[in-house]
Amino acid sequence: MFCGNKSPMLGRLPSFDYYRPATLDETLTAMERLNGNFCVLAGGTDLLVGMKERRGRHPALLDIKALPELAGIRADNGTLCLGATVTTRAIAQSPLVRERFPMLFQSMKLLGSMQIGNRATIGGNLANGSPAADGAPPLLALGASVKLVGKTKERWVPLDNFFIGPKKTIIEGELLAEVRIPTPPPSGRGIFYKLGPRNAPEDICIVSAAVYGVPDGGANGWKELRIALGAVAPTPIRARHAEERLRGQPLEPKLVEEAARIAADRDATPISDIRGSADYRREMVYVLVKRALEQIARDYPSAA
Amino acid sequence: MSRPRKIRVTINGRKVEAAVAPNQTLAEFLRCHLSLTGTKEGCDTGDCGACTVLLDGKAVNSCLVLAVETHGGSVTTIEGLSSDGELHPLQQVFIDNGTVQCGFCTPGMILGAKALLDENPNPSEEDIRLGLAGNLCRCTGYVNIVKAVGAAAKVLRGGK
Repeated sequence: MFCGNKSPMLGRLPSFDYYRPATLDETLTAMERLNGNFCVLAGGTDLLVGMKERRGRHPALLDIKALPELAGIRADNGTLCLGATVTTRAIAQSPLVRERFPMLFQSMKLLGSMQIGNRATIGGNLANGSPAADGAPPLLALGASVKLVGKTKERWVPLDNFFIGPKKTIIEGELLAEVRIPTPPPSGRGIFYKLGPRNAPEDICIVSAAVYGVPDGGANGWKELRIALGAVAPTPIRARHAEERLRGQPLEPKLVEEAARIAADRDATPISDIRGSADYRREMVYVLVKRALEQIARDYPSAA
Repeated sequence: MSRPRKIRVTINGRKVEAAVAPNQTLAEFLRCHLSLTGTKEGCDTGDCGACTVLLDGKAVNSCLVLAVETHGGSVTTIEGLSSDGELHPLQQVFIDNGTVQCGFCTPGMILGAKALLDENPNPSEEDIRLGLAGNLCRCTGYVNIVKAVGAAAKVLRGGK
């Protein structure tokens, strides 16, 4: 029999204790009792790989998939509410998301294979704190917030303030319970580009960029224009310098080029790793941001 | 720590009760505990799709699912596709189209294809290629595999 210790592939997970609370209240009680010596398990598509590769070691896993409070996609008074354990594929298959949040739809569709997307959750994608999280740039550009629930209090944190370093978020003994995204006005337009090593929805991105704009209705400007980038800084980031350069101005070709250059040179602070060199990443930020801005300008010639 | 947990799970239509260690993956459970070795382990990190099974009807990498997580659920492996000695149409077209080279990716490929066709009975070639992006064939025999899935879709739709 090809099992047990005979196969080098088997038995790679270190031992841990497993809890599967049925309610949010039970979960918070368990979190208090375990006093930091645990990791939340949602889809496990990154957590379990990390544990197999001995990057992360946890005495206990707290499986939150049975919690009804964390499940489901709903629209609440113009706001899109995503439970933390909604799978990325369920988001990509939601007609509501597809219609009203095409940029989020696009990023979820490209996040991973069918098998990964059936397990990976939006809460895990964010709470994991990866600079390359596919969900982060579109959610940053759309102005999303996350709900963090603790035993005694809960708080809403804008995603802008959520990431603090590679694999580090602002979460302190809390559970990420929900993601909320204000519904964009009908004129809002979002573009998401993901550059991966191959042309398939499988790989971790080399660079990703999300651009979201709302024209001001006049001849030459944008009420909102947000640019967010993935995998080019210690966290997913807003390209604030580039946004500042574009503020209140029409998207003319020269300005677009200048803003894309600012995003690449000032906002992005990439490192070189197995997926790409820092120089290549910068150049790709320039290309993707320029392309996305040009696309938005084409969609709204009056505001361009 | 890590005491075994009792689980009840339906595997290929059969109810199974077992005590599993929390760190046992579904792939290990299937292969070692139930001797269902049709499920292959390739990368063990969710990249290759060789260990694909259906969990509650959805394709998942069984190397990234804990056996304890399947408690109360239903799992279909390659062994569960044929019925009364009759091959599933997908299995038959995979044979007919010469898709099997080394065969290591085949069980996962067939289950990935089943999940794809359950959701989309009439996929385009691009749908098939994207749908199976999580199943790698290191013999690179993709052309016949894509052809076979298209043929299976036709059979399953009743020849239309």
